Amino acid sequence: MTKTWRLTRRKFLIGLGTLTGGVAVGLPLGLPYVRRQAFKFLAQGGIPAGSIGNDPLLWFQFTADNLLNIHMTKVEMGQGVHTALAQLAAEELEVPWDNVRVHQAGTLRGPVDSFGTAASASISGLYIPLRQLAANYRMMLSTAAAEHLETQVILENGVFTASNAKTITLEDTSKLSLEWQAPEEDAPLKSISQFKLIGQSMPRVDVVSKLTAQPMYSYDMRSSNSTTYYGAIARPPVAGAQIDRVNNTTTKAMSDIISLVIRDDFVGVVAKTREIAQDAIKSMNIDWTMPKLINDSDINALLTPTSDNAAELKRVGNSSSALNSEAVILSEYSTPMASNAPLEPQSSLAEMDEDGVMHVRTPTQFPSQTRSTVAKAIGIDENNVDVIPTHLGGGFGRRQRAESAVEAAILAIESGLPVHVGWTREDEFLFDRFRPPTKHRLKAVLNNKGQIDALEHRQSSGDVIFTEIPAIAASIAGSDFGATRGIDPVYTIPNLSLYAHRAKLPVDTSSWRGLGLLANTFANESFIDELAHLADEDPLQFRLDHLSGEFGNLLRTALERVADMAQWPGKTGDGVGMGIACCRDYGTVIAEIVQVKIVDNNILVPKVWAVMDAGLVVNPDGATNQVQGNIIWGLGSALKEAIHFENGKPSASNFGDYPLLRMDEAPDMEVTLLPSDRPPQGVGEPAIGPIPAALANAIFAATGKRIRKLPLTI
Amino acid sequence: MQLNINDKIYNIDQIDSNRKLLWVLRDELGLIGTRYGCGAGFCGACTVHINGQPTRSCIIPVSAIAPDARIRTVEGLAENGNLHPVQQAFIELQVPQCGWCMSGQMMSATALLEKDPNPSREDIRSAMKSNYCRCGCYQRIALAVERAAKLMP
Repeated sequence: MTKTWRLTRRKFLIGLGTLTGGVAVGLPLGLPYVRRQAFKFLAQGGIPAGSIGNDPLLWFQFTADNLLNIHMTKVEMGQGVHTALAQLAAEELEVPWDNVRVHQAGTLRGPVDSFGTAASASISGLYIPLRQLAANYRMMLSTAAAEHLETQVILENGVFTASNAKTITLEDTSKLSLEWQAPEEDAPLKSISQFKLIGQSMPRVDVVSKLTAQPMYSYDMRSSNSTTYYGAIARPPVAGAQIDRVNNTTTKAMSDIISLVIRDDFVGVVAKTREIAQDAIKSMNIDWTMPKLINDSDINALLTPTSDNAAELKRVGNSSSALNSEAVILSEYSTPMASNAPLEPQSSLAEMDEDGVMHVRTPTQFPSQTRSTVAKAIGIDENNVDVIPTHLGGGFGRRQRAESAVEAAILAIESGLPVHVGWTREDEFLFDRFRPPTKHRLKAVLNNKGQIDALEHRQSSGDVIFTEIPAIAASIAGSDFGATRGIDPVYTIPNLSLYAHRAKLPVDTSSWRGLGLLANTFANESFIDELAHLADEDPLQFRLDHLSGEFGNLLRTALERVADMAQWPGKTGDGVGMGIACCRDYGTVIAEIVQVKIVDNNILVPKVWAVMDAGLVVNPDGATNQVQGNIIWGLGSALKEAIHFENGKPSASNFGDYPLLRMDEAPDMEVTLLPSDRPPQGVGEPAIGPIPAALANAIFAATGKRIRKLPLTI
Repeated sequence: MQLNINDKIYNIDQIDSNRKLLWVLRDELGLIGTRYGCGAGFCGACTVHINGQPTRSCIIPVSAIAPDARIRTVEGLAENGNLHPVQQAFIELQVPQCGWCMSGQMMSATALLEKDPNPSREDIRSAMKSNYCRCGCYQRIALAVERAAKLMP
């Protein structure tokens, strides 16, 4: 008898909730102290990747032909996480790579994650726990195989061989018992020198499917049991408008619909085709209660880096007295709102089965949160909501919430039909949760040797993580650790202070690739470049002169290597130049050089070099692809991407108003990953950080013009 | 009305001919390999060939397609179980990240290579510039098109 997959009800913790507890304990120490400690913890330790449980049978299942099926908690949005996690597990289980099959876990099947897929934390967070789970399972199976073959066994290529030459496969061993005891002590993990799969560029497990038209994304999902119907939702003219009155439900276009659902806050229809549903919705006459229609000026006025309400994040020495000097250097930088714009608009398929379980296939980065939201919206128990994440046609932070999951579930439960709700590109822009705008005010004083004596960075940003956590936790934490990501400069500076002001904006802002890393690194690394020129020092040398300690030394190696690759400082003048910038993002350091060529006031980028130290890299080719993608994202932000608000509407409704970087604008890229014995660190976001500053610095080298505002224009 | 898609005839008499080719392919005929990105011809995710010409299926109603027109979608790239050289090259270079744009990228690449078997890097960048890749795989796409040129029979 084969072991059946166990459906279990599991408890989980919401990872972000830990912030409240940790901070509350420290309250008697005083709020400013607590806030600095919270910033320090989050800036250095990073966000936990989530616990994965201790039941290998939820993760691993052997099936015919000795295949290892791995059920993944993390969702695949193109970052290669399924491949890299499979490498970790197959390594410890001694399974040949060709025998590995990967599946997405859902909220009712397979393991559950206490967090989600975000913050470049999946591999760094699961590097030990997933290998340990696999190694423990290997130990359980080894014991069973040895008992079965009545002698000691060796596991190689998925098969146990006994000293008497008898063999048994992992699959057959896994079926020797229905009950398995976890080992009392953890099994030993392989050492780095024993790795066969970890550190190799194994081909991605999702690539062939993605190139051969396989149905794997939410927009491809159709009911497997019956006809699929299509839903459309009434969209307000601006985000935040509420339904006041539904005036007309008897239009000609409405005559073709199957189901009409009207709730206080929701009007939707179900029809045989997407177009019929959309036409019907458009024909309806709905009165909306409009919110205050905001403009850019409303938003700008709220971004006040010098506000007295700013939270102090870090204080070293006494920068305020040092900066109270006539020689103080002051610069202000700003970054605009930007759209995530994943290329696949979000969509969901919802279908209720005969047992009252709502199955929702949806592009979510946080399946457990989506389950709760859906359960609440349709009034059923969470344990009857089966959220099955699909492959995501881009995530980048936008898929933290999956609104279409709720919309499809409401229409499915009301109509009793399987319903697919697909957003349009216009919906995506109107209801995006934008990268928050930021303003930065930096001050510094140089000593008589031309080194930085004091530096202060005051930042003001819209919310990133605070959108998602309880108001009380936010008010205690004081600063949004998503917005402040990357604000702490890597340099050794005797007097340093960092402040963050929370701008409560009347527009929905949230996670965007790298969160605050891009904005803060743009300000920090542009400013450092300005200081280097004022000190009459080469920008590379100036950076090297301010590096010390563990991460300073890692960054020194990266900077020297990238300078070597690009033959820094290259040719300058006549509209040509190079700029350098670097950052630390949690445990990853990265140094980048951008080459610029100015032609008729157009900014062209022929080439970019990047050197990253992200600890041990599980899949070097996959990590390189991430770095390349981040360079393109960084350049898109540096050159093009901006959202403005006018009369309550974002300035873009489709790509005509929000062009992305194109292939003919993309640079040639050279990427080096430094070898390291440190455990794996994040690779999905760090490389985005230095790019805008490196480009602005290159423009300065080429033209003498310092541009302090994104997107960069001459 | 009929459509010739990948050398197969589909009867679409029951389908509103004002509907865009993209949604007929995806929602009615089950050919979901052609993807939706913007619905306005900006992003290229929905690129198919009509008589060999790369065409945005999201903006063309099926009524505008000539009865004898030959439509080719990403499902028609592989022949007799063999992947098309463009698919082979994209796999070899491990091009995709999220992958949503890739059908359109490969259809644009195939149209280019059928017209010009040996394109320069600049030819590729110019021919492919209207296919967005939000994940930023452009360098790999260009290299894969060059590789595919070598693999083409």
